[in-house]
Amino acid sequence: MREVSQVINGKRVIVKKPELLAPAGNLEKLKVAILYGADAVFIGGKEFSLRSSASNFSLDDIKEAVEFAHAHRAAIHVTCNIILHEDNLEGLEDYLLKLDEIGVDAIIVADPYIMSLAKKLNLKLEVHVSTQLSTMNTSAIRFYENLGVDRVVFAREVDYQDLKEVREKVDIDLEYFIHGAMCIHYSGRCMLSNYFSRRDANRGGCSQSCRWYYDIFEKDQQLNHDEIVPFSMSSKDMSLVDELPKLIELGVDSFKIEGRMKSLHYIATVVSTYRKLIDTYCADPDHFNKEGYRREIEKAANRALCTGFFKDFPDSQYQLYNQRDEHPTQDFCARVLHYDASKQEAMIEQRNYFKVGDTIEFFSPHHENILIQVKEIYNEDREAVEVANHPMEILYLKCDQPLFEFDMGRKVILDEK
Amino acid sequence: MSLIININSLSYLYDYLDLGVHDFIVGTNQFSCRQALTVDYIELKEIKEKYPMIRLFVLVNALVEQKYLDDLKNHLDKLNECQIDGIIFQDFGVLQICNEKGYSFEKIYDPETLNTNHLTLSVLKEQGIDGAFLAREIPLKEKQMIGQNCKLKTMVQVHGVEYMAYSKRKLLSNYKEYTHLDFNVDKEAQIEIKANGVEDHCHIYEDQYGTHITSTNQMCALDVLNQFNDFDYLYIDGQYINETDLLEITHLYIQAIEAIKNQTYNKESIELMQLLYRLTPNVHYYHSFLFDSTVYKISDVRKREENERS
Repeated sequence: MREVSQVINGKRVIVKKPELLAPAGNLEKLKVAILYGADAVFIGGKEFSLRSSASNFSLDDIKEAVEFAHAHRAAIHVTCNIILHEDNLEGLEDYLLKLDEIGVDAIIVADPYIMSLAKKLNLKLEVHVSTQLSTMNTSAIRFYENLGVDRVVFAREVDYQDLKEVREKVDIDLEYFIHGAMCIHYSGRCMLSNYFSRRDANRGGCSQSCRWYYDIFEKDQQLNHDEIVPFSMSSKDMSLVDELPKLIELGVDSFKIEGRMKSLHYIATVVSTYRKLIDTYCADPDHFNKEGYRREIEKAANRALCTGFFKDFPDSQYQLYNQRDEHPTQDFCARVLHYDASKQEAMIEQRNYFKVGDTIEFFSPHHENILIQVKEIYNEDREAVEVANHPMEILYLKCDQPLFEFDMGRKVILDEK
Repeated sequence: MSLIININSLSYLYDYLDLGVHDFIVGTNQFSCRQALTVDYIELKEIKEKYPMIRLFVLVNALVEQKYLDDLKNHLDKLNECQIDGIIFQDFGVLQICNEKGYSFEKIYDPETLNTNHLTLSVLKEQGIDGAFLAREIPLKEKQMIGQNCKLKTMVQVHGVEYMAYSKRKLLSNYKEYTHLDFNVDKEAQIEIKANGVEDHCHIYEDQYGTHITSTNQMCALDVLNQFNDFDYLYIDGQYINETDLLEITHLYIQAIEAIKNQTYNKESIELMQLLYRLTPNVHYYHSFLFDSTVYKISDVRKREENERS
């Protein structure tokens, strides 16, 4: 078993720091994920990838992503996690060769044929078994080892005790989901979307039928009615922010954040919070103060959060039965493009409505969160405006503390003040 | 092509044998999901002793948590002792154990949704599988391509309710807890759900492995069975069908296979369908995805939505 911590100069430190693996749906999000602290980013190509709604990457985009990532000592994993049908086989070999040539570090794969082909082609890139294959035990992992894979991504259904036992028994790299949306059924084994919408979930077309409302019947008698909510199969999102120290101590190799379709604000907030948590814990695990991280994560949550299968078996508290349990955050309002120190002025790109008098919290990989009250707003023509209500408009704000490109601003809502 | 039945009773085994059906699938109380019949080791041995003509396959199709891995190994050992003819599995951990132990029974890979091309199955053949259950959600033409290009035994569903989803969570119990409603959650309770805006109901129930959802509509290929020559096993699912109806339905399929051999199928299939409708007047039959396809690219999804609107 790999050594996780060592005592150095009388202080225990974590020597096996886990990789923080973030999602990105486009180049802008990818850059933000890396600048905010991701060690690796997973992206989807135009073909052979799930999440067909995400604005997936062309080969040129992937090349740019790899160059940017490698320049920042980060890695790029490309999802090739489609379940191949006969008409998806054409072009696969060329695609894998091109990914390898571009310098992609790993592919995430759900189809054993792609695993086998990647090894046969003698590619330099690593092959990671996707969570779509619902791996939960060491025997299954041995099976994939025989196919020559480099890493196994666990099923989200794996709990702490099983994770611990598996970690003790296998040497292969293990990846575990720590944050994001959860399928309510075993991933890859759910055909609700196929049946209800004729949209293929295993090729990226999932219509999220599990989150719909259902009438429920017992022998023809309807059980739900006006006073009783309909049946639903919607899971709360997972966040293991409070459990991360336990996971780090286990020696899991990679912590994955879900959400290639999530916003820039989500990626920046979640990545930066986990980055800070991992770094702080690893530097001094025995004096770690966990305060504050959960509150930060909740600022980007658009559903209530839970711990998935990690801690307890998910009961009704882990599911959403009511729309009011969802709370989309709309307070991301600005992205910093430039800061002029001589003028103490930030050039920003508007992302949501805000106005003079609002308080904006700027967060960043470079500094602690900064609160500013908006006293003046200027447009590109240097005219003073009272409200910022044009999406993506370039605006100028006064700020006496330095901000940085890619800093994010979120409007502080009333009950936070 | 021969029929294989997910059988729901041991009462009519002689009758099935008389019809010429020799392949049966059963569940046990460990690691079996969506079985129509649960038997124990003693019954497995008895079936094999009493009916030596029968080829008996056991469902070992749960996805297996690490904490139950030793139980799984013991279970597979016992199944081997019972001299079963094969297992139906979906967790590659099951296959790995079988390979390590060198069990000679057949290993049929049935992940319900993932067997969708012949090259993947060729790779899995090299890894030790003997057969594969093809995904229901692909058109018949694609199934035929796989059947023609595959060097292992292929199994396709021709009749019965269809698998839709499998969750580790106790979805019905959780709903009961949230709403304080009181109802049973097992298969016998006959709980159904219906999505808003969708006409069809689904069966839903819980067991020790979680929650299972199947269609209430039943797939039926009796009227197109002459297009199934490329497959080794034609699977009839006996869940939610009573035991005498299952025998009768099997008989209709046997007659259809005979008619195909005798080149009288085109005429006889119409009569066989009428017999089926008379036997089960309340069942809604459909062709599932045999002549339909799914979409997944956003542009195709939009096109389909526009077509449906117009």
